[in-house]
Amino acid sequence: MTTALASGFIDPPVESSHAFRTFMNAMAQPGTIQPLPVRTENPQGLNKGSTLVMLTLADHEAPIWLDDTLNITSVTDYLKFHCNAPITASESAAMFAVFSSCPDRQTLELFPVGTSEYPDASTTFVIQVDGFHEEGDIALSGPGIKTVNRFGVIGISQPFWDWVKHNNARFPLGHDVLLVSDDAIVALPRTVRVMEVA
Amino acid sequence: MIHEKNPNVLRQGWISVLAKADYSRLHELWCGNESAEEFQVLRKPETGLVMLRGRMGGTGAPFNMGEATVTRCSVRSETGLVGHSYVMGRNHDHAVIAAKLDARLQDEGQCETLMQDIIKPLEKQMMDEKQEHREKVAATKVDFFTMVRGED
Repeated sequence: MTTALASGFIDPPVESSHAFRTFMNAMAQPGTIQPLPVRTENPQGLNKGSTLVMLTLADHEAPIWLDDTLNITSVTDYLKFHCNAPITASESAAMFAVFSSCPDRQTLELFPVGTSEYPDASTTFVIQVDGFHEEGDIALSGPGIKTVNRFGVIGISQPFWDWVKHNNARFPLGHDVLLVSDDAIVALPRTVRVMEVA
Repeated sequence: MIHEKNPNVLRQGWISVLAKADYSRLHELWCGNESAEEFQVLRKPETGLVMLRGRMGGTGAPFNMGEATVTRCSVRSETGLVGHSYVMGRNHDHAVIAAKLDARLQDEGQCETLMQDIIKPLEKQMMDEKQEHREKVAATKVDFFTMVRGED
């Protein structure tokens, strides 16, 4: 036993409901910065946001794929203990893929986008970022956005936004993305359209 | 009972004793051996069901016998040792004490004393009760004979 296990929710039913509500709002209003409603201990590797997403959404039926930086015992032990979730090395089996930093397009294209019969069978991406700011250089539109939503994110590179455009173009297939920091979460569902990246 | 191939044998032993122990006795011994150590709860005591499986005669094909209520709990000590417990029934306190003791027993500095003061007495009590039960049953033993009925 080298690393001590970090703790999960103190009061799972209440805390996971608050977190779930936040993720739902984030998905319903893409590009809005939703502060994390609950703070838990996070294992070394995962930030507070991705820890909360995993504790709330992952379970024994949702295999998790981790990038090389995150595929370490502190993270895998934590996910197995608190979520009962299987860790998979196979992209095609992954329900969630967690990235420690902005992934490149080739990596993202390895994951299943769902099928016409089951568009929900695609992998949901959880990407760790350094932070968000209001009134940033990214403008989004689409369902859930009245006119245009602007926000900024630290730790995401330009090619990623080209991928988001490509991801939207194949609707109803495609990936839903959660950008997570230590304080907040922003959702980019597959319906979101990137208007401009200045 | 020391098994060279399996270093977990000792721990399996005390986890088993703690799980089967009589709660009032365990509580009493625990109170007598309290330490100032703080524990962080990793998993609050939670009650659920496990499927019990059996084999007919101990060797047949496995079948599901029924479900049992089990309470489990996990704690972490200040020194980072993680203790787990699985206890039959719904006694949350029992599960918490057993998990804390599992964590403390993994600390080599405390292991010996705790084994002497808590595990051994619990084990002895269990053995005594078993023996008493055995004797009671043995005293009322009846042998049944089946007469040859003469049909082949």
